[in-house]
This record gives sequence, C-alpha cells and structure tokens, in this order.
Amino acid sequence: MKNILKIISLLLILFSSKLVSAQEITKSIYFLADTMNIQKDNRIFEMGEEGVWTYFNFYCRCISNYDRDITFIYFTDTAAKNAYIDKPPFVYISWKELSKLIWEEGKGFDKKYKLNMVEVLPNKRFRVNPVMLFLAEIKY
Amino acid sequence: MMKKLNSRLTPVKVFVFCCLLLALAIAACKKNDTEQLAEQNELAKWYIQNKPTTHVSYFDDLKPQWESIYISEPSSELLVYEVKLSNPKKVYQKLSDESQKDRSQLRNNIRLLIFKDKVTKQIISSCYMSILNEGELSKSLDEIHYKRVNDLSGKIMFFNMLGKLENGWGYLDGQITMRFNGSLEGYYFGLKKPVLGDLKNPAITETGSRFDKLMTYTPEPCAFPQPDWRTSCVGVDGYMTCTMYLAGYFCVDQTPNGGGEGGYNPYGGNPGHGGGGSGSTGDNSTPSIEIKKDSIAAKFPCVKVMVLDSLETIPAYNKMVQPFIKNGQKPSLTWNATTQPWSDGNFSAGQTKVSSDSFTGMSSDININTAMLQQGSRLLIAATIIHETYHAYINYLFASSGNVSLVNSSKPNYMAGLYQYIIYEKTGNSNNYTDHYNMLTSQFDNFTDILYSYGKGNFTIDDCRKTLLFGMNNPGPNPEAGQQEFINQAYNDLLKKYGYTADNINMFTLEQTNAIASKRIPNSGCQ
Repeated sequence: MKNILKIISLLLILFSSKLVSAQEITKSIYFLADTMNIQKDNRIFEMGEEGVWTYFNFYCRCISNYDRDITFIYFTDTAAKNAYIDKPPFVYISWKELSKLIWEEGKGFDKKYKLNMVEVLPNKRFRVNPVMLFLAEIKY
Repeated sequence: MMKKLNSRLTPVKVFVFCCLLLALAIAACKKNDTEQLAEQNELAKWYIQNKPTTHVSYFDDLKPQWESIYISEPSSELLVYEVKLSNPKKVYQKLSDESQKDRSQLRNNIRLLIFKDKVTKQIISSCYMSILNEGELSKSLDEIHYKRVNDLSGKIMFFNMLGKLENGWGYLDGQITMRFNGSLEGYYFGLKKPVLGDLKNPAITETGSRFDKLMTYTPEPCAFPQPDWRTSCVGVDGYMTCTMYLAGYFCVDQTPNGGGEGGYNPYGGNPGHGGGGSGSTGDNSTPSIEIKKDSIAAKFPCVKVMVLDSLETIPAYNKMVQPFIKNGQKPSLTWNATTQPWSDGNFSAGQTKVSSDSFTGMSSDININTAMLQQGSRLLIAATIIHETYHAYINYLFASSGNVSLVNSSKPNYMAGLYQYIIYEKTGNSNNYTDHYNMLTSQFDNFTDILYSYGKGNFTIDDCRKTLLFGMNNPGPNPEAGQQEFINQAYNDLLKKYGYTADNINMFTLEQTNAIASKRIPNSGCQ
C-alpha cells in the first residue's frame, strides 16, 4: 500500500512537472559562430570536438556561482550535415545580447531559449545546429 | 607334529588376524570420521562468520549441506570444497533463452565453493557456482564439478557471496568457447571464434534519440570488437533479480591471455596470485600513465600506494579508471590533495572538477581534502576515492558516449526507473544530483563490493556500507525543486534496507572523520 502511494505521488509530481515544462515557451535564437573571418586572438569562443560532442566554449564566466567558462554543445553524430549555400536569413543575436540572456537565466537558460549555432564554413557555407548549455559543475 | 600343531592353530591365527584387521579398520574409520567432522566444522564456522549478515540475495535462501562435500585440488596451492545446497525455495538461475520454468530449474544446479590455501591452510574465500545445462535435458549435472565439466554444453557462472555475478565460462561439448564477466568485458575465443561476417550486432547501433545510444567500452587490442550483452537472472518464480552483463566481445584477431580457464579467482582482484578466470582484462598491472598521482603522492605517498594503486587491482574499480589509462592522451585523471572544509559539521571529503583543458568532461581533476587524508580513517579515504572516481567516470561517459544513464530500472528497483525518468527529462546531463542518485539507486552494491574486496577482511560489510553513504544525500549547491526530496528518499531507502538510523550513520561518520591513529593511513613506510 505504501509503495502504491509512493508511486502515485511520484507520478503526480512527474506529470505536474511535465505540465509546467509544457507551459514554458522556449524561444529560438540564432548566433553566428564565425571562426573563419575572425583572428584567433580576437575570438570570444573556442570551438572543437571532444568525445561525441562538438563544443563552443565561450570565454565568459557569466553564470553566477559557476567559476568556469560556459560551454554549449551538440551531438556530433546526429548534427545537421547539410550546409546552407548563403547566410540563412535568421535574426541573429549579438554576443552582447546573448551574454546578457545567459547572465539573466543562468542554469535555466535552456528552459527559456533554444539557441542555434550558425557555423560559418569555408566557401561561404553555413551550418545550423541547436545546442544545449553544458555546465561542468564541481561534484562532491 | 609341527604340521599338526600348525593345522590346529591356523583357525585361531586367522581369527586373531581378522580381529586385528577389523580393529584397525574401525580405528581408521573413526579417525577418518573425526578428521572429516573437524573439516566440516571448520568450513561451517568460516561460512557463518563470512556470509552476509543480512539477506542480500536469493543465494542466501540456499543452505549448505555440510555432510555432502566434494573436494578437488585444481592446483598445487589450492583446495576447493564444493558443497551441495538444499534449496527449499527453489532458487534457480534462469537460462536467457529458456521460456519453460520447469526446464530452467532442471537445467540449473547451484553449489557453494570454498577455497583454501593448501600452503597456509587458511580459507581464502567462497563463491556460488551455478551450472547451466544448455545441451541435452537428460544430462545429469551431478557429475560436473569445479573445472571438471565433462562434456557440458552450457555455462558455469560464479557469483560472489553478495550474489553479484563475478565471471563465468561458456562451454560446447566440454570445450571453453567464451568467457564473460560481471563487470568487465570478455572475449569469444577458442573453437567458436567467429568470422568477420558474424560481426553484426544491433546492440551498438543507435536506437533513435542520442541518449539511447548504448554505452560501450572498447578494449584497445581488438581491431573489430562487437559487444554482446546478456542478462543473468537468479531468483524464485516470479521474482527474478536480473543483471546485465557484457558476455563478451566478438573479436576476430585477439584471444585473451592468462590461464585459469574455467575457474574463479578466489583472490579477488589480486593478479599476483594467478588463478585466472576473474575476467579482468589483464591490464591491471599496467602502469597508470594518464592517471596522474604525482601531486598527491608527493604529500601522501602511502595514500597512493595503499589506496589508489591497491584499488586499481580490483576489477570493478579498474573498470572506472580504465578510460584514463592511455599513454599520453586525453582523457586523464589527476589526483591532488587540497584544503577543503573539515570542521563544525562541514566535511568535504573530496571534489571532482572537469579538467581545465577539457570541455565536456572527458578529463577530470580529483581533489581530496588534505585534512581527511591526515585525520580520516583508511576506510573513509578509500570510500571517498571510489566515490570521486565514479564522478570522474560519469564525466567521461557523458563526454565519450553522451549516455550517463546507469540506473538499472529492472525489478525490484522500479522506483529507480521512475526517478531516472524524472532526472534526465529535467536535466539532460550529469551533475552532483544525478551522479549521487545513480550511486544510491544502482551503484551502491557495486561500491560496497569494491570497498569490501579492498579491505581484504579488515572491514565489515556494514562498515563499508555506512562509510559509502557519506555525502551521498548531497544534491549539490542550489538543487532544483524536488531534487532534495528525491535524493533523501533514495538515501532513506538504503538506510531502511540495511536497518540503519540517521544517528547510527552520524556516530559512525564522526569516528571515521577523526579516526584513531591505528585506523589512519601512515605518512611513510609503505613503499
């Protein structure tokens, strides 16, 4: 009987949390990740691959209580392979605006915004991938 | 005259001679009976002292029949007592592909093995041997013994006293065709080595979402490894406890090293004793090139030798550090001793950070509290190192496979499955909360096994469990709604399971954080 009550209460929590998350609206935003036209020393982020992830490590400790640069990642294997021939006609967010949103939302950034990285490729090609915030928190 | 006399005395002589023989035989039998009884008593006494104190697995429902022991000597050093078990609750190991329970029961026989060192005459360890007949149903399993399988087609699997699968062997007509292990990988080898065309296994393909991708560990020496996952189920009808194990890798170009085929390693993870069959990769003695211990070893040389190095010889722990044992490459695991809180009820035993040159968690730095290394017990230090290594391992898994879901959601841990669903739906990647949740709901027994093996009899199972609980109910800073409640629930489930109270744990923790000198790790003299 106890176990049944436990399951019911968990399911209630689960479904109420689902309901809440369903009501949250995530807004798509686009950031132009240009490593082709900006000198390495002047870049605000570093891009690369580690394990199964492609990462964008922004040189910004802009989440409070998180003493580390912030990283956005996407899963390399299932990422979009197709490239746009021209710069896709999105409304791009500036770094100034993006860093402000990250500062405001902190760890909950992904719940409010769906960030898409638009990578600049050689020959004026562009690739778009949604990313998620990865916080390598200290574990105790 | 003489002849006559002789003829008269002969029946008397024969009678006396017969009486003497009979007396000798009776005496010999009595002596034999006495020795046998003493041996049985010794085994029974050892078993009672060393079996788990609480009911931890279905194997605990099996009772040794001390009057029915088969003795074998598989090597010049080892004596193996094979004890038949009474089985009133009809516990059996289910064949993975056998749907009829009656047949599964007929095809299975479980015995208790007790290993004794012939030289020191000390009992070393014990385990359960489960024989599974996958050949003709009519075949009697009574004639099959430890390392004497006759023409068995099936499996012999070894479970430790906590009921956890340690290793096993597959046979076809009495020949070993594969080995498998509860915690590490094995290889198909021998007569049944598959050809390249056989290397098709859907288990490693993605099944949709990126988080469904199966976590696999690929051993380096094999060019074409393909994992083969199986399930081992032990229990009674309707209540089976099942564990996934990696039965082996199909491998076309590599066969395993080492002897001891068909056996169990009674010495645990200590490769120095041979015995083989533990299923370890054989790499346990490999220098830990990318596990950087210099920093911690400079201040605490005995922690390196007595804990870090020693733990690496235990297969289940070794599995967690294997990814970091690569020459000159990422990932790496770096051990340091740093100052952290250690007073006024605020004890930080250690912390794990993603290394500064790593972005998604491939490499980690583990900082152990200097105060704990100085004042804490060896038991607490070892438990902390296991705990922090798991954090680093989870970091690595996330980076290398995107999959950090290690919770076994099969019965009876159905609650864990629900929690798991909630956790990963909400977070997506690992953090202090998710890691601790995994530890509490699915890794706790594994950790206990590691710590208990490491202690080599110096720590009780209960002490290992209590120490491992240290800090596990900490969801990390700024937990999200519900996380503290979920983690408390999982933590309290364990307290209840093992009959501990919060006060028990607090008292015990205090003893461990400020241990008496004999329980600490010395500063020198351990090289």
